[in-house]
Amino acid sequence: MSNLSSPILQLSFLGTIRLRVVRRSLLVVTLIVLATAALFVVQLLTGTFPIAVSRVWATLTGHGTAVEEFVVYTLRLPRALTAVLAGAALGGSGAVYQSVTRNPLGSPDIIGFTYGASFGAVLSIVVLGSSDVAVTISALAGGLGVALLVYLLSMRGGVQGYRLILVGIGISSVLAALVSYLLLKANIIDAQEAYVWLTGSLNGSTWSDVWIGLVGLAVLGPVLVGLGPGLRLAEMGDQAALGLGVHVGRNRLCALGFGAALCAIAVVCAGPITFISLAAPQIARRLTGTPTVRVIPSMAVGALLLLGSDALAQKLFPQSQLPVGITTLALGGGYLAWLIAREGRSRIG
Amino acid sequence: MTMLAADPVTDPAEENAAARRRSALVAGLVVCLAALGVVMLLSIGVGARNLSPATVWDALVHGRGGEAELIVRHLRVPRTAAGLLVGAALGLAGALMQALTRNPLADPGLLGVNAGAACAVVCAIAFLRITQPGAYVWFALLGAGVATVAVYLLGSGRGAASPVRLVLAGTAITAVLTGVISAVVLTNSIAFNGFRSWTVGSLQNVTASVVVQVVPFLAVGIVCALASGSALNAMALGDQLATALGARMARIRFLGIVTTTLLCGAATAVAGPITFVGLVVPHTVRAFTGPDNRWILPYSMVVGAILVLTSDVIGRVVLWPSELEVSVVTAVIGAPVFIQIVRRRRLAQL
Amino acid sequence: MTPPLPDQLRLGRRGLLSAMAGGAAAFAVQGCTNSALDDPSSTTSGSGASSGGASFPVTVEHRFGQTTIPAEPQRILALGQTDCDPLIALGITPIAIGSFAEKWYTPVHPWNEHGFGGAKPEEVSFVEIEFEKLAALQPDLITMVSGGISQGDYKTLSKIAPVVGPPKGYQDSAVPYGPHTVLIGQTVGREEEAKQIVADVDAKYDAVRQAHPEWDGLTTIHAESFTGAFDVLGRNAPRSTFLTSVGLALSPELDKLAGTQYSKEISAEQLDLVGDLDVVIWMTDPGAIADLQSNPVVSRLKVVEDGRSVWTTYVKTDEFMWSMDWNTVLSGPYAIDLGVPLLEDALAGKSPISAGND
Repeated sequence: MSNLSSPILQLSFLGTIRLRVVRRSLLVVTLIVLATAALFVVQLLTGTFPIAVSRVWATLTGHGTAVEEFVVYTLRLPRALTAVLAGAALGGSGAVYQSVTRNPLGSPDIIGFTYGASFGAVLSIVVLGSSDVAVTISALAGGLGVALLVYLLSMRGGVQGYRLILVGIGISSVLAALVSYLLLKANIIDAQEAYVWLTGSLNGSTWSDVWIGLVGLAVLGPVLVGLGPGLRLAEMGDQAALGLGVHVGRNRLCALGFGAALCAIAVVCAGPITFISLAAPQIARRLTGTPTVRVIPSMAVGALLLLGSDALAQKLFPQSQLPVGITTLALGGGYLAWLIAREGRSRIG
Repeated sequence: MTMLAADPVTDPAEENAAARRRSALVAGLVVCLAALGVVMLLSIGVGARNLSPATVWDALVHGRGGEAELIVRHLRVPRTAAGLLVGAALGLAGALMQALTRNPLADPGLLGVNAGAACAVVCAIAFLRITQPGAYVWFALLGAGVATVAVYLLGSGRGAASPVRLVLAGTAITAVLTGVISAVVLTNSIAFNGFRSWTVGSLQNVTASVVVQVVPFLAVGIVCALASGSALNAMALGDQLATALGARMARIRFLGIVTTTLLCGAATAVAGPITFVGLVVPHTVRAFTGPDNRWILPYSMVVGAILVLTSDVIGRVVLWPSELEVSVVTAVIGAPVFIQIVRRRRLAQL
Repeated sequence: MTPPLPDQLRLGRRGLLSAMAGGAAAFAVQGCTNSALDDPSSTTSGSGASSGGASFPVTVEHRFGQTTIPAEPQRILALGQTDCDPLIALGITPIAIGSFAEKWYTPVHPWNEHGFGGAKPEEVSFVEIEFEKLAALQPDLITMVSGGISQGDYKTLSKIAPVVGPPKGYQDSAVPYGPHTVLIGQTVGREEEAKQIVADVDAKYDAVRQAHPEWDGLTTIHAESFTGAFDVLGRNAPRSTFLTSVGLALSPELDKLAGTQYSKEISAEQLDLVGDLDVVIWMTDPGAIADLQSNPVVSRLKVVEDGRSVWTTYVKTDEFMWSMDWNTVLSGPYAIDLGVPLLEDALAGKSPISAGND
């Protein structure tokens, strides 16, 4: 770039790069959305309960038997929809956090949200023996309560990013220890139920999960996409790549808040499948070839990753009902490892 | 490793201040060591069974068989030794890890140590039907070692391992291993049960033979870690120097990672994961010592040991006659102190 | 929640935080009784829980509310861990039974295998419920009486067929054979028969107490050791109720410690509380009995030195342990047949090892 002396030339050069990046992003996002749609259909048509393709169509148009309606409407449809919505929410919230903290480990975890939610949920499953709505409410209360606590504890004449992260670490590690402790002291069935929740599961997704995800994404998605350009600007204007030391501006605080809310929605729908918020932005960045993480591609990758993980879990291990979080970890982790390895060979990155 | 002169100080006034600071730090370390001695005595004297100090002393020195000797010699002494070693190792490993990656979110588990150890233990229970905790040690060590090698290879690619790539590689490998662990434990309740108890780090069931097995690993790790202070300081100076030093930086990073794995792997093999210590002790220590790794390392070692032993003693008392696992106590009593320090102090960043 | 399991599995091997198990049950009972969650397709008429004959529809009450069974069920899915036993005792073979569906575990034992006529029953997981698979089995009744079901799963299952949950007022891991059998009897319209079966089992325990008056007042406890830690079972745990049913008394100190919790961890330094009892039943991992016996903190206990201990594991062939742990109308008599000689041997100082532990 050093031989581009004229500022105008330089600008137009950057513009071309920008255009190319945008075009590639658009193409990648479109392909991912198409793949997600195809997988969605496959998920509706297949499962342990044998239903012919024609019967699925009949059921969807209101002509199915009671059992077929149960399988398609109560089990498969909400499950697939929840996967797409929760995946997109996690991908989006991860992108925001990694962008704001400029740290590939940045996720709503750092403000303690997920640990708070996990603690709330496990406490309610294991100690109170509650389920469903109560678990959801305690998870939400735990997550928001802890996020607020971390925020308040980090305040000292304004919130400093570095302090926020350290306080988050402190609180999160306490909660992580307490969660393991509760799992250990509970009876085995409760403990397994709680562990499945912690892993993140779509077995038992209901329509209420779908509505929560849909409304949340419809409200918060556009806000985050709108905040994107401002965040990227801030990201480029700062040298400290990992320092996290700058004061968190209002714009960033907003982003953190909305990002946490988006993550909360996913946690409520499907449990803390947090690995998606970690992996999706990194995978999307490498697919689209953008220098920084972006919200929309991350959401698309997140949706595909979660739906794909669920499909894989169901098809590979039909007997064992493995929660989706497991395949998410294996698939997302494996893919991320492959991307890193490839980068290592070509010496980009 | 210790080639780089520390601070080229010339101004006599500054030199004076530096000297004063150094003696303050030495004094602080002596106080910490004294506190460690007190906690060790408490750890041998306090437990679910009430024994008078005289009885404890008698059992410790003369033996003479019987209940008291059994409790003091077979239960409390190995446990105290384990707490001392585990705490020191984890404190050091955490300080090393944060200096190497310059990432405040980095804990030794990031290299895949905890996930690797847990995965090996879970597989040993599920597939080899091993249920005796004494046998977990070697599996945990092996798992930790293999996982770290994988992370390092993935993170370094052709060139030297950069901190960011190392962190991402650790994340990816940990994710895959966690997936394997979850898949095994959710399809095998026996393994789940072993896993959930292993995963709450505890010194309760440590036997003397287990401690003896890991001492060589820890000894090598501790010596290497303590010797690496200046080298880590040089590394912290940043990229220009790092490039100037070239290959040496890569070697330091490699040695640092081997050392971290030895320390954290052996500690985890003995007690199970106690993540709080490695993560938080170095941050806490840094608030007092400043960014000089030659001080952060020994302080982290001693404070780590104090934290673990104190937590273990408290854990024996609060739920009497049951016990609270040391990893839980460590986090619960350590966090408020840590947050207080983070709030009060001007933070020395990495 | 669900019943029998080696409590290593059921509870943390290091014991249970006070009030956890009790709190869980109490909450569930209070929170769920008044919700009308019965199968929407069924009618709400019926003769109520007191119905003794086979007049359907039948309505039964349980933790999650009321459930109406419209007609005599023909395809019963016994999802609760031990629900197959009362059904088999009533002469009914379920179409599938709940299980951990793992290698180390089996729901088929000598006391209930006759109910399956030599065939291997279909096992379905009650840990992670496979709804599509259950729907494909087309049951007309699902029982989850021995616990382990969440309210959300209850709701979803209710869309497949009427579901009967655990009886009100009992902890999940501790539904005694009486209420367990009577509720299932009501559900299939055979309450009187069920009550008679329960009375017969009660009589068998009475007979043991009469045959062994010398056991009256002897102190005992169920002690466990897993991965080096120790715990003792509380009074409501099925294996504890077996010991008290044959006339032994739980150690007052340990009973006070454990209370209504399933089990309570004790420190190795406190093991003399176990060592000073008259007879103790130990449980550990399969293959680990010798290790436990030679553990220095165990071998020095009086109850071990004198041979007054029975040694068990959760290996699936240890039928004494499993029959105590299932605590059903079928497994109880079996536990008596196996356990009384073992207890006699232990009190004679023979340190017996339960059969099935190679």
